[in-house]
Amino acid sequence: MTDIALMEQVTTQVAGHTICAFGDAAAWPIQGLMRAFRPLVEQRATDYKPAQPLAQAAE
Amino acid sequence: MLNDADRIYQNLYGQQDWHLSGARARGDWNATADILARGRDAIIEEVKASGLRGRGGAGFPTGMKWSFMPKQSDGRPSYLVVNADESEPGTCKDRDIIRHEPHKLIEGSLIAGFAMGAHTAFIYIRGEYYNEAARLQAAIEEAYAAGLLGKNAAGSGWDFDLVLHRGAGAYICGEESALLESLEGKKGMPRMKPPFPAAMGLYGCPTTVNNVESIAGVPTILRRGAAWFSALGRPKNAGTKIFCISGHVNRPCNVEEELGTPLKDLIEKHAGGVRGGWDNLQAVIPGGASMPILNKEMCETQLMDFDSLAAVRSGLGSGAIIVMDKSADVVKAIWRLSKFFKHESCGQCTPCREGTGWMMRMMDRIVQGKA
Amino acid sequence: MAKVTVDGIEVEIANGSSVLQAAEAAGKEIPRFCYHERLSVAGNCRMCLVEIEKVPKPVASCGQPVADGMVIFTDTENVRKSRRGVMEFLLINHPLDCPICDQGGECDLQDEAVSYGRDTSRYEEGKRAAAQPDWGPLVKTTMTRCIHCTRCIRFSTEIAGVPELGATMRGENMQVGTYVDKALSSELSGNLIDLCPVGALTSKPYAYTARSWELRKTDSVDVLDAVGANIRIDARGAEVLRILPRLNDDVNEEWLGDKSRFSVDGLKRRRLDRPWLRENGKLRAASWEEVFAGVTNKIKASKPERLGAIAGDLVDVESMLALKEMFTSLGSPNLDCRQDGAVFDASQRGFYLFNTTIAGIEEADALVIIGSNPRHEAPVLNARIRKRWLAGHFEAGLIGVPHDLTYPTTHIGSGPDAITALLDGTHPFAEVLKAAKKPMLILGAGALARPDGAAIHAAAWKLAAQFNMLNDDWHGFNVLHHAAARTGALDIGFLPGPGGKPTAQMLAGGVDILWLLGADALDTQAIGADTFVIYQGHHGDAAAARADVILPGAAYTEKDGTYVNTEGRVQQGFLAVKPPGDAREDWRILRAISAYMGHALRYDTFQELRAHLAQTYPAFALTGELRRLAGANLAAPAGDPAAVSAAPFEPVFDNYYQTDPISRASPTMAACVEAHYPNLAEAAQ
Repeated sequence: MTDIALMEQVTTQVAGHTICAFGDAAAWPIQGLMRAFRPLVEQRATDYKPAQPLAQAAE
Repeated sequence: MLNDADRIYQNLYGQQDWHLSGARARGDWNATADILARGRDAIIEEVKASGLRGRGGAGFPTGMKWSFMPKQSDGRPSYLVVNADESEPGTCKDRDIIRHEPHKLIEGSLIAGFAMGAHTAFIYIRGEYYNEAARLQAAIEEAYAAGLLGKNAAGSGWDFDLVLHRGAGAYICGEESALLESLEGKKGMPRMKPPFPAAMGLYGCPTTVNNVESIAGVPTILRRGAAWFSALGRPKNAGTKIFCISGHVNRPCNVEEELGTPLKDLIEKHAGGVRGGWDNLQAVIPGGASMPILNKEMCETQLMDFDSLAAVRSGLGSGAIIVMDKSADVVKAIWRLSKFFKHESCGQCTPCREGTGWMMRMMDRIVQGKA
Repeated sequence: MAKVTVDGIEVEIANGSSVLQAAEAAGKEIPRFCYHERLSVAGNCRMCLVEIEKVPKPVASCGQPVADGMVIFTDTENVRKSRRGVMEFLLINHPLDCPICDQGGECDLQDEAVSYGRDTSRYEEGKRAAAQPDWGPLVKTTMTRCIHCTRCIRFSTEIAGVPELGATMRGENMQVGTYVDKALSSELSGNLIDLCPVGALTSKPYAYTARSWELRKTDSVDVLDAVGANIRIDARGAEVLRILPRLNDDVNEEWLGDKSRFSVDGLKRRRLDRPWLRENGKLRAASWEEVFAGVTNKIKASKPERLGAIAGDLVDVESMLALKEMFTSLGSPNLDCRQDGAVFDASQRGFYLFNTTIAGIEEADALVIIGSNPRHEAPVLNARIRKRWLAGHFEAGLIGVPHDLTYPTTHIGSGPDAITALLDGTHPFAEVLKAAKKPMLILGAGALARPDGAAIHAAAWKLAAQFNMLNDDWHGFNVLHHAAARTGALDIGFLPGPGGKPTAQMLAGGVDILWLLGADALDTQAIGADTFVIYQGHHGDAAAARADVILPGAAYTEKDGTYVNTEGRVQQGFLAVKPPGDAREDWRILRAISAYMGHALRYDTFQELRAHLAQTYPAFALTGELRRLAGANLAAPAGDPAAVSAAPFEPVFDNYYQTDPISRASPTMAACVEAHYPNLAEAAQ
């Protein structure tokens, strides 16, 4: 979850600080995702389980 | 739905002849000299009155942009540069204009060039449009052969040369100042503004950079009048626009529609609907890769014009509508765009050079949920 | 003028100035990495962001022109936030190798990180690394540290005029480099090290030598060419570790030639650190008493008119004055500072100075270079000519060996007959000069060191007079010296007195005892076999090998001294370290030996000597500053302009890097010769 917050901060550090509009163009899709699909992104982070080592999975 | 009679691009689907003869049959190059005879100021005023906004993405009023060009030369020539670098993912409108209606672009270049006092225009076309470049070149040669370009172009008394230049394939060269750098033979990197191109553009001369669709629409606007154009669309978002509908729709297509048409209409009526029905819709990117994504709820009532999309903190951009149904992993889709922007960053300024890579790598993890 | 408000402070500033300049005028410091006063504005680092009223986004202050009534904020929370963001981006891919980075302690990134950096990194991804290309013997690259400010690219393209650096790839893969690996070929490449705000470009010879805070810094003047670049000598203990340029807009701006910067390791090698005496054809170490006694006996046994002294190219004025006055008191008129044998009318200062002045080059609109390669003889001055050319409406013609001078030149001819062609208008470049409002010419000192030197001197003056170069407010006649000591020596008249012999005659057996004060650029083979040679100097170079007595002197870093640059600008250098071993400051040696001979010089301290110098020669009372001479109503120098020969001009140096005892002793300069003149290096072996 901390990464999602960090990601949002980083996009604001890019957008509006560049010579051309490319910085905005690169940041907006991510900002849009966080606005429109925040629950989906958070759910995925909540559901995440690190891959089980093979030996354990076999048991 | 837009009346067929109100479509600027009568041959958008290439069912008719693209050659000069076919174009003439559709009304192109009809009394172009008379349009030029109205004079620079009248043309600019008419374009201003039409409410035409730049079709490349930013939506800046085209007539006003032209009016920034010097009325009197200080010894330097003025240039028109047409941006045919159409590299926004999902966008393919300029491609079809060039394929099927190249003479609209050429005639528009002459009129726009005249209106800004340019005797030379350059069309910067993306390198990947190889076949399109070949066709446009053929059309330019037709126009030269018919006396529509060159000395006394179209009998107007205005000398006008049109040069086609192929880029080498870089997203950033669609940015106007990077495009100018590339056109000058340098590495495509944006310039600082000011100075703006109208003061110091190509080779240090006054320059206006316009999108293909902006320029190609101009002859029709001037023939049918500003009032006709501004009556279409919505207030401050006048006229028609080519939308490029792609993704999870039954019939991906380019379609010319009025600005302000509901997104749902565009998808349902023109693109054959969302794969699996409207309820299977998950998300839409409404204006090319860089515009923020909309979820289904937002799509229900969304109108497709500059201001309506800005109101939901997205944008019309280039008019490329990318549709995703419920089978799509939207997070991964945005990750893919991050990868694209990381790959295409020119590397000139710090936040973009360093930030795009960082964002992509964080997206790598967010896609997996490792966030 | 535009009136703007910076953080509540109202300042007035010229239209066209940048917001950053306005902020500086208001005393506000703006952090920057890519911006540099002398380079074009790139605006790519984004560190100088400020807020401007009514502008929604932060603005890069370096590239934003001021507008009347603009309200600027340089230190709001938003500004700090933006800069912290930029700083974070710069640091995510910057290695944390400050402990092993030579830039540590004088690194802009380090300094700004104190103000705008975070205490910990939020970046968890892998860091970028880059290759370390070889840019030759002078500049060490660690491109992993590069922050892509492009200062180096802009310097080499704009100032140095050798566009060999550029960026390849894009995005985070962008690399600054030479496209194909090669040694930098500019004579100004060392300045890249100063310009690089981080440790990407550092000094190769100085690598891992010292930390900036360990160094003792002494302001001084460079003597390896006649420009008189202002330098700072950085020393630790008894060792000079590096030399950096100092800001002086009238002379070197902030640049320094590679030879002047990197010859410093030559100061530690081949040094004469004790007196030597020749016995039975072999030099043996001796004490000061022995050599003083030996020299005194020899001189006392000789007739005054059989004594001669030649001053070299790196010597300070005070030492030359002491030697001159000692010889005068001994009754010898045989003095000369022109070891290259250049004989021309030096009776007026304007005849041998760079009268236009270096800064004055920027006012000129046409230039003729005669018998000189300023790129090699004075690279910093050459950069000024290029700067003038870049500004536009400036044409340069060249008479002599064609060179790439980093600006285009019209090759008028190879020999002095080309001057004649300009005088009689048969060469089309005469039209350029005629049309010019402020034309200037540069006469290389090398062009004077030939049998027809006086005639060439006179012909060049005639050219100046004919083409409107000599006016009330414009003096376009310039001699470009390459020897740092020459102008000062001419100023104090270190020239043959009445009946005195010039260099050539002294060498050809005209004297029995020849005193060489750091004179290494003469043909030692030509010295008569019976001539007793006293060499006073600091390096075991050509002349020391021929000497019968060696008096170990001090190099320019080891003594206080006055030098006059080619413009006639009097500048003072200061002692940074003591001379090695038994070596002594030259004036002290002369003072001591004069007492030994019973003709004690009148000054006991250096201050007295310097006061005596200023009293005797009023030009020396004014240091640092320069009064430009008027060019109108001047008598022409002696010499017959028509007596020039047709022989083409020849280069003064066969290479830029080794021209004097210090640079010849420098391993770094030897490496440069190997990199840039492989044929010469091979021949030397």
